[in-house]
Amino acid sequence: MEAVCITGIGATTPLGHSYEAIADALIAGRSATRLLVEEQAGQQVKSITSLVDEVPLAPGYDAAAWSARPKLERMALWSVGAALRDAQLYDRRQQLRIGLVVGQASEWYRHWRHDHASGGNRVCQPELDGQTLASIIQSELQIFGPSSSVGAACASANYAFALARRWVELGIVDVCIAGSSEIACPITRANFANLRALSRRFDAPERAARPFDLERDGFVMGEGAAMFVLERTSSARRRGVRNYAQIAGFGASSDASHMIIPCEDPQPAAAAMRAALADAQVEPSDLGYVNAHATGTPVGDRAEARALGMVLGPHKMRTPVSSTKSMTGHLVSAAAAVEAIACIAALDRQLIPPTINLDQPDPDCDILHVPGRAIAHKVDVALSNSFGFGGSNTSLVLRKAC
Amino acid sequence: MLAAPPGVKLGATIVAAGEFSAPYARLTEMRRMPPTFAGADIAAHFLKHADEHTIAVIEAVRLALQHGQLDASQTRDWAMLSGPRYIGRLAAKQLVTRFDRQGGSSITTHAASQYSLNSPAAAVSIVLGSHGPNVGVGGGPWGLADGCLTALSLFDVQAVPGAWLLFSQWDPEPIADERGQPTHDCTCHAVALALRPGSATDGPSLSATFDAPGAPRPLIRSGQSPFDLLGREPMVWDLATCVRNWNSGLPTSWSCPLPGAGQLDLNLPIEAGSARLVA
Repeated sequence: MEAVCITGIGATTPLGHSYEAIADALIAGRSATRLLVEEQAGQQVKSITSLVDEVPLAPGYDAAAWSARPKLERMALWSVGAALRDAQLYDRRQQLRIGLVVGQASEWYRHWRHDHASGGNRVCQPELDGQTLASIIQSELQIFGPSSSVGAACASANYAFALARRWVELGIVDVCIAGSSEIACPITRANFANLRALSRRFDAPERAARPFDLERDGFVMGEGAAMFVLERTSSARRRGVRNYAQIAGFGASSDASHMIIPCEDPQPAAAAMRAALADAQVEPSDLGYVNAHATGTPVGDRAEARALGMVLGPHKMRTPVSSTKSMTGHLVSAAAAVEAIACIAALDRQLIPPTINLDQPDPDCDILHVPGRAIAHKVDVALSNSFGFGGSNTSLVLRKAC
Repeated sequence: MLAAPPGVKLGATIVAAGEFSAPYARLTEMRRMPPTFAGADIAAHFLKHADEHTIAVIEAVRLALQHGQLDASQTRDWAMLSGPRYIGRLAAKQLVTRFDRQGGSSITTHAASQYSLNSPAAAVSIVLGSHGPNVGVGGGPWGLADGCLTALSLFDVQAVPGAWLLFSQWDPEPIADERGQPTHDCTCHAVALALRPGSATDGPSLSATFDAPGAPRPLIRSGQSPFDLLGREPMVWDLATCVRNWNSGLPTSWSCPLPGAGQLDLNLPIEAGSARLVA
């Protein structure tokens, strides 16, 4: 099969609204997490979040109409349009078969919640549920081709990459857009807070997300979107456009253990990583960087470190590992999409983005950390882990563009 | 762009299928008494917080195993794909009402894990002890086509020995009161298809045939949905009828457009000497 590469990136995140801006922030070790105080049922409630304050206005939209759209849609539309422009395909989009794969953990719930918050009652009006986020993107941007919404909680976007790559390989599309859009809605945050999965370091919110640190106390929920244009490498070369990275491998597995609690057994996560490496035809020794799933929960980080130890074996202390969730927060279904940007930044700049707030590494997370500051390192191949509720484990391998 | 060879086709063999339909009240009973079946292990409380879609899908899997004379252990490394249409609608009404009245502290810790697109797939992977991939797909309009396309593509993405393709849908969609109970009669339909990669020439199969690269295609006009370009949307109960017929010894087939790509075909013939004929 011919290699499939990324030729366009569009994104809106708490760290910026373009690949370059986000990569700069990640390499600089900038935190986007902050304290949010909101009123819920007449009470002031604190949480730590990393939010997109303002989604850029997409070209061609009226500002008032744009701001009336749900944020989830605005982030997705901005990102897809920007990715097509970046790939120099925007003006040709109606001549191409453009596939679309959107990672979505619980799309309808997001629509219903937004509508309810705006005074609607759409959850009780099924006749109004006629459009998916994917069909809205197709309709608004007038792109035609197969589409799919895939969901595996926090692993959703890695499935989107895998499916999009396959459609390009098969030739059923000319190019395929893959990615995800996620909002940090208050009910979802409440769900995680009640699970005691969120950090409560309210006195130092920018230091709350601290994966692998001995004093980690949970994750910070974030939001944002990142979309990517995938096409055959030969097509990218012929068009003379930028090739950010090759989508080289994908692996997935299930814990078959629990709907919520991460599996303490490292075998299933290790199986996903090994499958991705095998798919990419690379060895653990080829890895120059691992972007860990590591959210900052005590159990999950430890289990992932153990799985990494099994996969990396003797290369464990030679392979840099970081969790960029320390800066972005956890973007849930869009996490893998934004973390692909971190991997591309590492491949592109030969710099490893750090895990910030990692002051005291947990001895049970015995891997080669990149605490605090980015480091220079040779990276030809990067691995991005994303694990979701329901024990859905995924790993994506990205290779440096040649 | 590189042109694909015309008529690219993906296919899978259907080795078993099950369908199950039940009204809300029956699903509530099943929540308290999860089904038991060989090779699977379900704790008594496993379905306590599960969405009704998940409960119906697990029963459809049990029936598929029974019809296909398969043991759960034979599907240990299989992928799980679930396409629950509008999962969590009943619970969502209760969640938003509670949140407004009592704030975040009233929100269940099970919402994200039980009302997501992959929740039924994840639950079945736990029930069957399967370590293959688990993912949700579709979940809304034209989700059936979405799920079939993704399942067929996934066989090429991951070298799995098989996949469970699980669909569920209410008829009609429930409208919930503030406690999350339906205000009218509604039935949840679920279908479980057990797939193996590669389709047998004349055997039971699911396949997707894609349009050639140069095939004429419509332009989506501003404000027009891609769904407007298609005919009647196939529903889970259409698929359930096919499966019911097949399991009763009647050959059946079904086709639907693959939005933006081509056509899907389900072919369920009755082979000579088949256990279905004997039945």
